[in-house]
Amino acid sequence: MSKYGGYMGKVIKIDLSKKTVEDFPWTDADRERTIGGKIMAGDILYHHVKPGMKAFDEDNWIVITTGPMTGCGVPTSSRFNISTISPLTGIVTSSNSGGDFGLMLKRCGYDACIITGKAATPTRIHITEDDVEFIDASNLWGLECTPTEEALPKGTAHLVIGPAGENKVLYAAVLSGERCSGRGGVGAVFGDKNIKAITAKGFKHPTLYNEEASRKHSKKWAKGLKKHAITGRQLPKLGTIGLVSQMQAHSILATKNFGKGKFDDFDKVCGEKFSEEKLTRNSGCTTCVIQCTRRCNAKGRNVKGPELETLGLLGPNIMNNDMDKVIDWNVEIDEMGMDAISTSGTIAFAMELKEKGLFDCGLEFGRNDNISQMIDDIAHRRGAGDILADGSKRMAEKFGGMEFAIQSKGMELSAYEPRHAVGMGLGYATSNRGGCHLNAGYLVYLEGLGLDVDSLTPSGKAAACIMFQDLMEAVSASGSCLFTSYPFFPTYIFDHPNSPITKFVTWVIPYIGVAMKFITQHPRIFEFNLFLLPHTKALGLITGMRSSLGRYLEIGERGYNTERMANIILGQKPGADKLPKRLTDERQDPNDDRTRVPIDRLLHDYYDIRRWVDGVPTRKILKRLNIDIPSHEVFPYSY
Amino acid sequence: MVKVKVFGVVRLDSGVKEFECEAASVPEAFQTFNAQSKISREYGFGDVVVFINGERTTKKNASLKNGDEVWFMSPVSGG
Repeated sequence: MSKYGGYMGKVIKIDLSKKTVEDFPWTDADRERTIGGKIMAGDILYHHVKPGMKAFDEDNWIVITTGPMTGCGVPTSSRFNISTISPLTGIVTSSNSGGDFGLMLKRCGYDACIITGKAATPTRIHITEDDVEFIDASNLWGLECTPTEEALPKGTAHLVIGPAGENKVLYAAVLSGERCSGRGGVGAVFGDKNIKAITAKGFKHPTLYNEEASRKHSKKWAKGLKKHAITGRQLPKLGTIGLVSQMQAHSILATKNFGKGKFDDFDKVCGEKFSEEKLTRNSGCTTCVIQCTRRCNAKGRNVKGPELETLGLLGPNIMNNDMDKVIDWNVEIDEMGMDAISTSGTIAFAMELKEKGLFDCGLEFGRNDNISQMIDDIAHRRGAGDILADGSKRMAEKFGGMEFAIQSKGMELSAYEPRHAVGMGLGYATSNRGGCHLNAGYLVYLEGLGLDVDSLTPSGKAAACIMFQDLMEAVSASGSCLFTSYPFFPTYIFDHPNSPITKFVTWVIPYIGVAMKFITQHPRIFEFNLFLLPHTKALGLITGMRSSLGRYLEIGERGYNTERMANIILGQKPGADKLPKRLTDERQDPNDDRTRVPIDRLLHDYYDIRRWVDGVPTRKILKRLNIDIPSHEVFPYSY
Repeated sequence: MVKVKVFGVVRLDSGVKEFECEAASVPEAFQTFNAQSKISREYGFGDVVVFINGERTTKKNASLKNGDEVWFMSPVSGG
C-alpha cells in the first residue's frame, strides 16, 4: 500500500520456473527516491544484479514498471518501461514504450511486475486483479507479432515477441500493439525465458491526492501541448520524420553508415513527402494529445509508418531513396519483433564491410532488393542473418572495422550524425544503455533541431547534456512521454526563429554552462515548480509528494547514477564512454577540424560536473544522492 | 532565377513545395511564396528559418543572385 496518490501500491514478482507469484517490497520511501518507471526499475536491478550476471541467466530479472502519472488523466502519460540486462551490451537496458500495457497493469492493481526464472515451454503470462496465470503458448510460438496479438484474448493489453525474440536476436524487441520496447534486446530476454506474451486485464483506478486540482492542471497542460509549435503542429502534422529535411540542412543526417551528414536524395525520403503522398491519418498512444504516429497503406493494409530513426537509417544511411521500401521494411521489422535502429545500423555496417572487402553477405549500399530477405534471415538466424543478429560490434570483432561500427557500448546509434552536433556525440558516449539518442539527453534539440545553438562548439554542452539527461530521466520515470518536455522552450522561439529573443537564447546557451552546472550540483535550491515544466506540479497534485524542479532533477540524477552503478557491477569498466573513431577522429567536413566529436574535452567537462572519474561515480556523489555503495569486492574504486 | 524549396509545417500549410522566381532578395522570394500560399496571412523572414545555398542566413534582407537555392523551413524537433 502507499499513502501517495497515483500509485496502486503493489509490486509483484513472478517466478516462471516455480510458477509462483509473491509481493515484492516497495515502500513509500522507495517511491520518494525514484518516482517510478525507469528509475524504479534501475534501482531494483541495482540491488539485484551481481558481477558476472548475464542476460540469459535464469536469475536475470525483467522489470516492468509504470509511473504515477499513468492512468491519472495526465496528457500523453501512458508510457511504461522494461528494464533488464541487455544481451546486446551486457549492461542494463531500459526500454520505454507507449501503448496500453502500463495502464492495464495499473488497472490490475500493480505499479510494477518483476519476472524471474525460465518457463519450461512457451508461455503466456496473464495478469488480472485477482490472479497471475501461466498459460501454454506453444500454439503461438513461431508467429509474427500481429498474428500473435490477434490470437490473444480480446480486451486485454499485451506484450508480445516475434520470431526475433524467440531466436534470441540480440536486439529483439517487445511489441505492445503498435508500440515497441525496442532497444537493447529485451525481446531476446523474453524469448530466453520462453515468454511469448504477457496479457493483462483489470478495472481498478488509482486515486489521486488532489483530483480536482490535478484535472484542472492536466487540462491546462494539454492545451499548452496543443498550442506549442512542436507538440501541437509539427509532430501531429509531420511526425518525427519531419526532422529529415532539417537534419539535412544541418548536416546531421546519418548517410552511408555515418560517413556523411547529408544525402543528395533526402527529399525523396523526407517527412513532407510522406505527409503529401502516403499519410492516411495520424494516431498515437493512449492518452496522447500529440498523436505523432503516421499511418499509411502498405502490404495490403493500413499500417504504422516509419519513425525518424527507421526512415533515416534505412534511407540515407544505407543510400536508399525509395520511401516505399522503407515503409515495407518498417512493417517487416515490427512483425519480426526487432529494434529498427540496431537492425538498420547493423545492415549499414555489413554494407560497408562488403565495400571494404572484409565480409560479403550480399548487402551493399544503394542495393535494396535483398533487404527484406535479410530482415527475415536475421529474425530467424538463418545464414548470414545469424551473424548480423548479434549486432555490429560483434561483427567488427569478427571481421574488423571497429572504427566504423557505429555503436556505443555495443548498441547502435540512432540517425543523428553527431560530428555536426558535438553535444549529441557526448550524449551518445555517456548514455547508460549504449547508443541511445534519448538517454543521451537529446541535445540535438539545441543543436539544430529546435534551437540553433552553435553545434560545433563544446562549450556548455556537457552541462546542458547532463541537465537534459537528468530531466528526461525524471519525465520518463513519471510515466510521461519525453515529447512533453519539449515545451520547456516556449513556442515563441519556434514561431519566431529569427527574432532578437530567439537569437539571444541560441547565442547565450553555450555560455551558461556554469549556471547549468550549478543547478545540477545544487538542485535543492530550486524548490519551486516552473511553469515551463508542468510535470513537477502534476506529480505533487497526483501523489501528494513534495515536488519541485530541484527534487525532480535530483531524482533524475539519482536514476542516472544508479543505472550507471548497476552497469559497473555488471562489469562496465572505466573508459567505457566512447564513440567509434569515425566520429571522433575523422572530420565530416575535410576542411573543418571542428566537424568531429571532441570527445576527450567533452568527457572532461562531463565528468567534472557529474562528479565521476572516468565514467565511475565518486563516493561523494553516491552519498549525496543516497545511493547505497556496494562492497569493495564489487566496487573496487576509491574515488 | 532562384529556386526556393519549402520544408516543415509551412510546406503542408501553404501547399507550396518549391518554385522558381526572379528575386534579388529574400523578401522578394517571400512575395512569390505568399502569392502561391494557401495560408491566409503573409509569411516573412520572422516566421521560418531561411537557408541560402545550404547556409542559414540571419539577414532579413539577404540578397540573392541567379542560381541560388533558398530553403524556407519551419523549426522542427522530436525523434
